[in-house]
Amino acid sequence: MKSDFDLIEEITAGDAAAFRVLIEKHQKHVINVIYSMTGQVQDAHDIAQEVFIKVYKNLAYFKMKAKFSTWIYRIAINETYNYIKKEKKHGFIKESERQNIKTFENIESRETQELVNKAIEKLPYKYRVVLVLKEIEDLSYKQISETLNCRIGTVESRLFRARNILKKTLLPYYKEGC
Amino acid sequence: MRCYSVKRLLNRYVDKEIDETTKKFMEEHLKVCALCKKELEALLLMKHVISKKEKLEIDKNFISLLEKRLMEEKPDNETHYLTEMNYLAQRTAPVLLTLAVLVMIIIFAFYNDSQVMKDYMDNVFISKDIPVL
Repeated sequence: MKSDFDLIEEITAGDAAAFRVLIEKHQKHVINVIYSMTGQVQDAHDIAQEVFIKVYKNLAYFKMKAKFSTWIYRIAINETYNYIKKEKKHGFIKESERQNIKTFENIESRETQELVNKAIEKLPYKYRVVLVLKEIEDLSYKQISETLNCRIGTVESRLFRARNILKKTLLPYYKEGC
Repeated sequence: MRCYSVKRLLNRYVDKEIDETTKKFMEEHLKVCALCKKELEALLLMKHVISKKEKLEIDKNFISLLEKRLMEEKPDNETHYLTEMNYLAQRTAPVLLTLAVLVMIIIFAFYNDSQVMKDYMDNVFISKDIPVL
């Protein structure tokens, strides 16, 4: 499989097929990161389209020193932030939803998934981004700090706060032994 | 190791971002401290629940839709890559603007200074005309 750098060189040389390969390689990660932050299937696809268009238009700016995945994650995070700011589509756990879900009867059940999604969407954006990059994409602290252009200590403290908020939101629903 | 240090490092521990020596000290503490162990279990549970979060099925038409949009945006079949010149212009424009403002401020300051000097000289000249009594 060709590396991202090889593909980028081919794209800038005018090979449109190389861009398709690049999208195929990264679309799953990009869409899932956006979906984890917005909780909306269609919006995740729409924002991902904007991300790849931006990537295509700005490929000349990409310096081969950094990892391409770091760059594309950064664009995805910025696009999602702009979208959330514009649409104000924050998810909140309504009281009615709280009453319907009593406990984690089954971690993989639809209700639990729903509860986890809402809890993540409720997090402040800067905490949500770090949590998604760590838990969903399994990036290291160093990779997250490079993506967000911040210190490793900042990543650590944001992750600590994000998990504390999630614990307070989700643990009351946890039933021992499930 | 004390509870404070262990609790502070628990996130690093579950994320495997900790060196072997510290990990060993933490594990020794966790064997004997029920409170820290409870914190660890809560953290692991959180991780487990989030890791089970469903992955999104990608729309099969995603790439074809994207390619269609890119084709629509291309004028005369040319790519949209910004040239190095455009890039440089975008980067240097704010610097040039700042320089222009600075030059204007300096010119204005000099102009004001020369006005003050002119007024002073005029006064001196006028004072010479006043007859001494």
